[in-house]
Amino acid sequence: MQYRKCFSCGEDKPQNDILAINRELICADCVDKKVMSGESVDMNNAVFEFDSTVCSFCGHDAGELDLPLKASRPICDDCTNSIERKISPAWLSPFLFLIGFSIVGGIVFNWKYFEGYFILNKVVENYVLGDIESAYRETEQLIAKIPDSKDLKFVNNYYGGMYFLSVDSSKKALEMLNEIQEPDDFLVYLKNNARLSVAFDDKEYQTMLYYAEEIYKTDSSASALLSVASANACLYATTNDEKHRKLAETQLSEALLLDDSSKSLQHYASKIEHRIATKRILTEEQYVKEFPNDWKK
Amino acid sequence: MFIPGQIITAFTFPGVIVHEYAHVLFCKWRKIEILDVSYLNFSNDNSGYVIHEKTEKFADTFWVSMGPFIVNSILCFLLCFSVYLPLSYFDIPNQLYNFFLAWLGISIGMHAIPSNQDVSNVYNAAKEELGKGNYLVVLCYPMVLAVYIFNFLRFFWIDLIYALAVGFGIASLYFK
Repeated sequence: MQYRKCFSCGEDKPQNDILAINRELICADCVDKKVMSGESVDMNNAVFEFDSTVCSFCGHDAGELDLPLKASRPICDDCTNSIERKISPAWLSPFLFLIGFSIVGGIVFNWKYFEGYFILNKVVENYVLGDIESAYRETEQLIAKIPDSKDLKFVNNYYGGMYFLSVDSSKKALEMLNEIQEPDDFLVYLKNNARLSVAFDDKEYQTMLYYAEEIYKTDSSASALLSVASANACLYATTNDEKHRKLAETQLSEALLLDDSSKSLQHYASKIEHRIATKRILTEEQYVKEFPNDWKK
Repeated sequence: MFIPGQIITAFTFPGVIVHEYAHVLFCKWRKIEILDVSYLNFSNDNSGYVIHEKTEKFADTFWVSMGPFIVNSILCFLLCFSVYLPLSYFDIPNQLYNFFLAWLGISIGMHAIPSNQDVSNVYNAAKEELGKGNYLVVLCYPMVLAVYIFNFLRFFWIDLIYALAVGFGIASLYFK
């Protein structure tokens, strides 16, 4: 500990009890006395200087030894260590490691969802481009990656339904569409299309007519009207009921009035005409095989 | 709904620790001596603190005060970003690990905004700097005001809203 002589009382006092006021050293006791007696003390010009041999944090006296400074204050080793321990306690590194690990772990653990998101974008892209098969195949990939997502199962069933309808696998299409719990207008439309095709495959032409008419209630396109004509043609071919022939012919000509530009519609119309004329009900495959350039009257 | 601060501190303790550690980190970066630290406590006055030497430069005060805003916001975003797809986009049930990550991220995000004490340090330093003729510091006045308003609105859970916005809001903008 270092001592300084007080200018006022002349005694040697520890430096930490001394102030320099206007370059004169004065101890804290004398400052107190002056203040108590009403004497003015120029505290604005008072300067305090730490004793470099006494720890300013705990008061430890290092004798003659000058202590290192921390924030311009002398500090002993114990206090330095104590502050260091407070800044970096033993649990801090594991805690920070846990946070870092959680971030990396989160990305690794959830990587399949990032992949899934990008595949789903491709699914939508392919659907917009009209490539239902690729869209469906990609949803299969998605389900394999993320099997526990209800939303993805929904998407898979939807695209699957559309794909199987497009390749005339109506039973499989209906199976997938029936898995969907949330009904919407387009789903009802798809399901009716699938049921119509299943009814045709099962030779249940009355049922086929029912679903064709159901579809036509919401879809007044030429294609929907041709489906009704097709069902009536089937009923005429199997029952010989003239009423169904007339209906089929009327609906056929009405449909062609609506749209006769598309090749697929012309192909469909010619298949119905063949059915009415010959009373033979051919599947698409059989018809194409027998009449590669469509049947002509 | 009013919930005592100590209970919020207990539920979001990782955020308090990260907030104080961000102060420490920025003190080390700016070479400012730290005199005392409490990473977590349950007193009425504060949930943690860092006492450092008096800073001489405005930039030091600014960065040390803003450290938690930067660090906590980034960590909140990183923790919640990977969780957004399974929890919200794909709606996967029973994701215990992801719920843990979400809790961790939101806890950290909730303590991102500097305290009133932090911004009052910036405000005082800015006043001093203004006296020296550095008029650029007035740019931080709106920020100081915003933080005061934010801290006032903590009663209305704005800290949770901020954490959700950083954690999930940004992700939802990206994963449309």
